[in-house]
Amino acid sequence: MSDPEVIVVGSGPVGTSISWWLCQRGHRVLVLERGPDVPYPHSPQFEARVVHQTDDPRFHAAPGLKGITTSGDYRFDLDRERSAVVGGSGTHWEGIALRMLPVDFRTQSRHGYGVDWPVDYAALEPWYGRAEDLLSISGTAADDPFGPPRSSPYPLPAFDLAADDRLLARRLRAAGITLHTTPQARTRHPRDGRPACANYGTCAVCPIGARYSPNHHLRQAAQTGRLDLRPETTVRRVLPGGRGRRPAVVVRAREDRQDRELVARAVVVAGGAIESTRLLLLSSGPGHPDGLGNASGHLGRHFALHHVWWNDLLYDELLYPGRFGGWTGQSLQFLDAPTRGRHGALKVVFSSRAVVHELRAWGSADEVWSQLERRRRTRRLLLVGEPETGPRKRLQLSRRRDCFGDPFAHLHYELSDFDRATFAFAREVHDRFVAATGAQAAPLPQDPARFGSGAHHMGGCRMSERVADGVVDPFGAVHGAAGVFVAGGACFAGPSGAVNPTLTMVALALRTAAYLAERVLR
Amino acid sequence: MAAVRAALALGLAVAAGGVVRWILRFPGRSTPGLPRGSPGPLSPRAELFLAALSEAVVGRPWSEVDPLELFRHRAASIPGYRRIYEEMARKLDRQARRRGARVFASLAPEDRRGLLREVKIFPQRPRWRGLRDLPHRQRFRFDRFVIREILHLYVHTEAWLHLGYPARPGLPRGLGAYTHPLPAPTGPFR
Repeated sequence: MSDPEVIVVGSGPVGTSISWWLCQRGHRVLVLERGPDVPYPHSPQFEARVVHQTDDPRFHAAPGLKGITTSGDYRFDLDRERSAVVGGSGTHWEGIALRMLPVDFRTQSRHGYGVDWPVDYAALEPWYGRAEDLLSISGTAADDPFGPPRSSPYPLPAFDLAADDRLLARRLRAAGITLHTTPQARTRHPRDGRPACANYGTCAVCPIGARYSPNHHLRQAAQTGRLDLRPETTVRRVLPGGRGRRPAVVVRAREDRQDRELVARAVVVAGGAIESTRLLLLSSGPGHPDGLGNASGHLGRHFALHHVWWNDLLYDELLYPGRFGGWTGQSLQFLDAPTRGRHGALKVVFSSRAVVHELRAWGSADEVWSQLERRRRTRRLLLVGEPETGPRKRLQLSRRRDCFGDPFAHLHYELSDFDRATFAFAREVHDRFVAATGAQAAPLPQDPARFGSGAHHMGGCRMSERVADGVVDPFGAVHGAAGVFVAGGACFAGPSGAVNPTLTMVALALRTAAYLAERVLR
Repeated sequence: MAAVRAALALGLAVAAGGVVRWILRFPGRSTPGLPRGSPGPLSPRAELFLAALSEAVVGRPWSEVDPLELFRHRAASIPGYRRIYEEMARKLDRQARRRGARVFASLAPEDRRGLLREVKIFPQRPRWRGLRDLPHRQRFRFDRFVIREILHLYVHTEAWLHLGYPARPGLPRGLGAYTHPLPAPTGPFR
C-alpha cells in the first residue's frame, strides 16, 4: 500500500471504527497495534479457553508491554482489564451498548458537579444511531421508560428477559422498580455477515462472532485494499505536524532493533484512555515539554473508572441463572434520581448471569458441591456508580519502564466524599432490591473501596472548547499539535454517567472519522 | 546500661525471629509452579490413572466431557504437565499395589478416594507453608495442577447438568428455552 493518509494507533473498537469509516470512503489507513494478531471468529481462542481451559500466550501481548502501576483505592489489576491484541479489549468485552442520557452531558449546569461537555446529546444522537448500526445492536426502547430519546430504532430486536428475570421483575414492579432488557452488541438475528447468537454462554470469547469484535470490521476494511494493519508494532512517540512538516509516529516493530518514523496527514491515537494519555505524556518535546496537548496542565487529569459494587443475593427458590450467556435484566431507573447532585448516577444490573465460573477457593469436594448448589439460587446485583473526577484521580508516568525503556503509566486513584455519597445511595437501592425481591438478608459490603471498574476507563485527555480547559477539541484534535487526534474514552469530558462507555466511544469515534474525511483529508 | 543492653538483645531477638520466619516461608507464599519437562503424549498407564482419578475426585462418572482430552492437550502443549501426570500415576499406582491392587484404576471407587485421603492429596486442600513444605512440594503440585484443574473443569461442564440445567455453557443452547422456567428438578441433586 502507498503512504497512508491516516495512522491510527490502536485497533480496538475506537481505532477500528475510525479506520473502517475512512477505508469505506476511499482513504488509506495504517493501523498500528502493539499486540499480536488473533484469529477471527475467535474459535481458536474459544477452544483454548473453554475447551482446554488454558490461557494461550499466543493471544496476549508479549511480556514487557504492559505494566501499569497504581496507588490509592483501586485494588484490581488494570493490566488485566486491557487487552493488547488486534481488536483490543473489543475481543473479549461484554457487549453492553448503552447511550448516555442527555443530562449526563450537562451535570454541572443541571446538578452542580462535574463539567458540561462541549458536545451535547442532540449533537451526538445521530452518531449513536450510526454506532448502533455499525455494531448491530440488539435492543428495544419499548420496555425502558428511562432511556434517552432516539431518532432511529435499534437495528435488531432485543434479547428477551430470562425466566428468572421475569419472576423477579414482577416482584420489583410491585415495589415500583422497573427491570428491563439490555441493549447489547450481540446479534439477535444474522446481520452484516455475522450469524445470530446461538447462546454458547461464553460471551467473553464468542466462537462465532455473534458478540461484536472489532476484528469483524478490520476484516471488512482490509477487503477495501486500503487498510494496512501492522500488529506487534509499538508506537513510542507522536510527533505533531506544523511548519510544513506532517505529523508522524515513532514506532518499534517486534522484529526491529531500532525505531522508525512513519508520517501521514493525520495521526489518531486510539489506544484506550490509559495508553492514549501515556503516549501523549511520553511525546514531550520542544514546545510541549510536559507532553502533547498539555499546555493547560490537564493531560492525565479528569481520569475516572466506574465504581462497580456488587453483592450476591440468595433466594429460597431455584432460579437457575446463566441459561442465557449474555446480559438480560437491568434498570436505568436510578441514573437520574431526584437526589442526583448530592451523589452520582447509578445503574443497576440485575442480570440472569451465571456466577458459577467465579468459584475458585475450594477446600474440598463437599465445598465445591455446596457452593454450586447455592449458585442455583443466587443472583448477583451490580451497582454501577458514576465517579467524580478530581485532583486525586490522575494518570502520570511511572518509574517502572517497558521493554523499550519507556515509563509505563501510573494511576493514583482515591475516592472522594461525592463517591462515598454515591456508594451510600447504592446501598439504599441495594436494600430496596433485596426487600422487593424477597432475597435473604444480605447487606452490601461496607467498604466503598471494594469496587471493580467494569474495565471502564475514561478521561485523561479531556475534550474542551478552550485550550486552557482540556487536551483535545470536541472532535478530538489535540490542542496545539497539528494533525494529531485522540479518540475514544480518553477524551471524555467526564465519565459517561453510570452507563457503559463503549457505545459513546464509538459514536464519538465515527464523528471524528467524518471530521477527518471532510475537513482534514479533503 | 543494663536496660539498653536488654532492649538491644530484645530487638535482636525479634529481628532474628523475623528472619527465621522469612526463611521458613521461602521460596514464597505461593505453591510450587510447574516443573521442567518436555511436552509430549501421555503413556497409556497415565491415561488410565487420570481417568480413574477424575472420577474419584468428583465422586461420579463423567458423561458429558472426557477429562482425558484436557489432560492430553496439556501434556502435549504445556511443558511440565506430562511430567506431573506421569509422576502422579507412578506414585498412586505404587500406593495402590501396597493395597493389593494392580494399579490405582483397578481399585473400587470408594477405595480410590480412601487412598487419596491417606496420601493427603484429596479432599482436603493442603496449605503451602514455604520451606517447611519443600520436601512435599510434589504433593502441592498434584493438588494445584491436577486436582484443582479436574474440579475446575467439572464446575464449568458436568456440574451444570448435575445441578439440573438442561445444557451447559460452551455448547450452542439456542434462544428458545431460556425464557421458560425449568421443571422442578428430580433425582439425587434436587
